Amino acid sequence: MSKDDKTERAAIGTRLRLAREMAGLSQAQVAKMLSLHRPSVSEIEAGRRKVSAEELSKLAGIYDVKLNWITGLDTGENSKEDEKIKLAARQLAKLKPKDYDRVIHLLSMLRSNRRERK
Amino acid sequence: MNQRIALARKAAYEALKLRKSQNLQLWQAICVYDLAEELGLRVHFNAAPSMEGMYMNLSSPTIILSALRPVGRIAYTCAHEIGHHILGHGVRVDEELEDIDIDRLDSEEYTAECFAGFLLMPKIAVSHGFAKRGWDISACTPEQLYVIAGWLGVGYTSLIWHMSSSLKMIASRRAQKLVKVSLRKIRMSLLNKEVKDNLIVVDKEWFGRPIDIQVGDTALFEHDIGFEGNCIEPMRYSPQKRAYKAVLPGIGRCFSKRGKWAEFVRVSRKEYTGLYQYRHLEEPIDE
Repeated sequence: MSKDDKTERAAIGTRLRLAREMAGLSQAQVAKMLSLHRPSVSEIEAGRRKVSAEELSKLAGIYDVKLNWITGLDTGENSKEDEKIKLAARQLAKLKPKDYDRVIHLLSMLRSNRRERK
Repeated sequence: MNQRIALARKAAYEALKLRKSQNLQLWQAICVYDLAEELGLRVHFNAAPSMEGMYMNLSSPTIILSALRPVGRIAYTCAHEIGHHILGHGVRVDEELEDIDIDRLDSEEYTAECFAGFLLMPKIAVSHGFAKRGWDISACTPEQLYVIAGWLGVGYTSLIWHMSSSLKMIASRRAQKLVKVSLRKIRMSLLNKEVKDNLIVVDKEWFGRPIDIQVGDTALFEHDIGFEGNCIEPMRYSPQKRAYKAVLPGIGRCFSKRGKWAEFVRVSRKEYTGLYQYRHLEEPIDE
């Protein structure tokens, strides 16, 4: 595996950990949802285990975040949604800087179209 | 002032219409987060101290709530943000507010605030809560108000102000006196022991919504119960063995040993942050 591949895998792992924490889940809970052993989730987040496209898609669904955000392909300049986030950013400017960053970050991660409720 | 009355009426109408559309009876206590989910809203709890809540009309409409508030206040804020959604408002960010001066709110905020009150505390639900327990509203005690507020899922003072200013069920002077009674004192009087975290009183009239508590909270049952699950445990010092402490996130079921009453108990981590749908998820046991 090339150095670039390693770096990319580590970056994906980092974003997956962040998304999991933002969703309020533990590694054990995610492992159970995916029928994996807990260390597998830990390995994925550490960038030491390859994560399949199917697993990535499932994880994005569980965390309710954009798949493109996890893979790092989200440019953040593609839709009306981003315009709304910019509008929110103006209103959020009244918050403390740390809270502003936290909320903007969350909004930029969230999936636009959620699956229909079953 | 006439415009404010019109806005309040509109808010009440929309709140009651929403209840009707969701088959929620007017006398019923509701879980506002379950309602948000039913409406297709994404609810996210966030540790942002300087924010109360926000609503964003994204293609997946989203509510973000500060987890660092008392539970009744978070529920009220959620109802307020649902108000923005139902009333067709766009992006709304509500900053941290210690005391809301409702008369200084802009018209959208004022309407959403009234909407929240009428959604969570319709007059029929408040009257029903007192009548079913055989309590007289005109002579209600702080302890009785505390029990009703817990059942409705709102804060003690929110209930009093709503009963006074919106529902006209309590005179303003009396309301001012009642809100001065400390929660510590009320909890002490109900439990006979000081508790650091929240106390919720559950009686046989508790109906319509699950008993939602956080780890560390106490649930005081006014009758003997059986319990299925491991998220709450009986407290040792309780003389009648009816006080239970929330110990683990998860969902259990409590039921009356003598009657037909049963209800779900849902426990979340204290000051849970994350998506609402995972709030009561149990931690799996490592194999």
